[in-house]
Amino acid sequence: MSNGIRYSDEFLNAYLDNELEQADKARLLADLRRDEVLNRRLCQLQRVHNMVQLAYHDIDMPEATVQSQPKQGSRRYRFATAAAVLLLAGVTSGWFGHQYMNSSPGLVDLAGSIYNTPANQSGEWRVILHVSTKDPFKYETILDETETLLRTSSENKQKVIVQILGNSAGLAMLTDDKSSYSTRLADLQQRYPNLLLAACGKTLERLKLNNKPMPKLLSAARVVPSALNEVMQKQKEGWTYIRI
Amino acid sequence: MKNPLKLYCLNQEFKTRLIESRTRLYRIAYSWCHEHPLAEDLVQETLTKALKNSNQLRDHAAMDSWLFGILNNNWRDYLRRKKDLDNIDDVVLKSPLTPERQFERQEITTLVRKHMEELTIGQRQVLSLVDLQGFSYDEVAKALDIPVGTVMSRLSRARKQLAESLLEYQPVNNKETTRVIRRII
Repeated sequence: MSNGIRYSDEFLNAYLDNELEQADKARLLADLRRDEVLNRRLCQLQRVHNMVQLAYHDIDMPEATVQSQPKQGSRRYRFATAAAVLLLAGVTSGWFGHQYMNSSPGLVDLAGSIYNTPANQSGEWRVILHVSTKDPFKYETILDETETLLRTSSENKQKVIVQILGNSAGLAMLTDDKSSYSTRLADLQQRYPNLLLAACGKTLERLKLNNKPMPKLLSAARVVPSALNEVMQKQKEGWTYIRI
Repeated sequence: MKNPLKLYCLNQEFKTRLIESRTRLYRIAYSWCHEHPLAEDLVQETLTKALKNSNQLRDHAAMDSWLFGILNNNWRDYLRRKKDLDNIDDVVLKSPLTPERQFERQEITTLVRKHMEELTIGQRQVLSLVDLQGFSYDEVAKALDIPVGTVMSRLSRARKQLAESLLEYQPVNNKETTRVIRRII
């Protein structure tokens, strides 16, 4: 008589996946020696497991290809890839890397590393900082970093252009709402004409469509057709892109 | 003011493991959506979020569950945006069956993937994490934020359904086989 019925499918799967306690495993193994039906059930589950592994064993991640020429694909994909790759680049070259350098802020380090590369023929560093969330603490951080970069480069007579690009909830940074960060940003922009501000036109369109109140942008902020296009265009022109 | 490093601090181990996880994330993402561009999209988004929220990872030993949890959230967000389902666990995604695909069914890989598409999304997620990623039931439960019992029942239903569909497969022409292996001495 078959004992296979004593064991549920969950139990047999747990055995296959090495999830059983030793005592349960021993009991099952003993029954497997004398129960053909049980053997067959287990064998079927094992075959399914093997077939699933086979069906996906050759799935590999394509190489990341985002450089100045973006690959074809969905807009969202290209955007996300650009962000991810540049964030990773940032990790190794400055913005994040300054965790190992206690004395100086990240953007200055990143700028320094780029100035010193042979590839930087123009002697100019252009960076686009993309903000898409409403986070005053982050805004303060960006302002700290940007101010230090602009001041240091001015003192060292290095050419730098920084563009802060806001979209989605990040438009809040460019809104003239008399908040501490918007006041500081406006002041910074007046002192440094090489600090540019850009707001995403798509976000504004969406707000309008949804009958949401339109933000009053800082006077220095220009509206670009879309944040995505702006990022892709700037990258094409050799700008460094950092998503905050 | 807080040090900005607190926001963006990443250590070398984290970066290395993140880069190494790309292919594994991609394989799982592909097994869920069966679309290469979408799988790439999901993985890139996962990496971006992982970098951004690295300070939320308390235990580096649990990094895999954490990463696949982010992937799961991205996948669910994508499905919600598509608004093509009410209950994510009951939905069955079937791809259109073209003559070309009909032909490809002869390939076991294609056959398995086709039947994977007939599983509910919840079943497919659990099965792929266990079979492809080698996750324990506990790790799957953490990544997908479901009870271990649900992991076990989804896995059980998934394998049972696949066994019923896949193990009927008979690609060999028996007549030809008989002729080839006849006794000659």
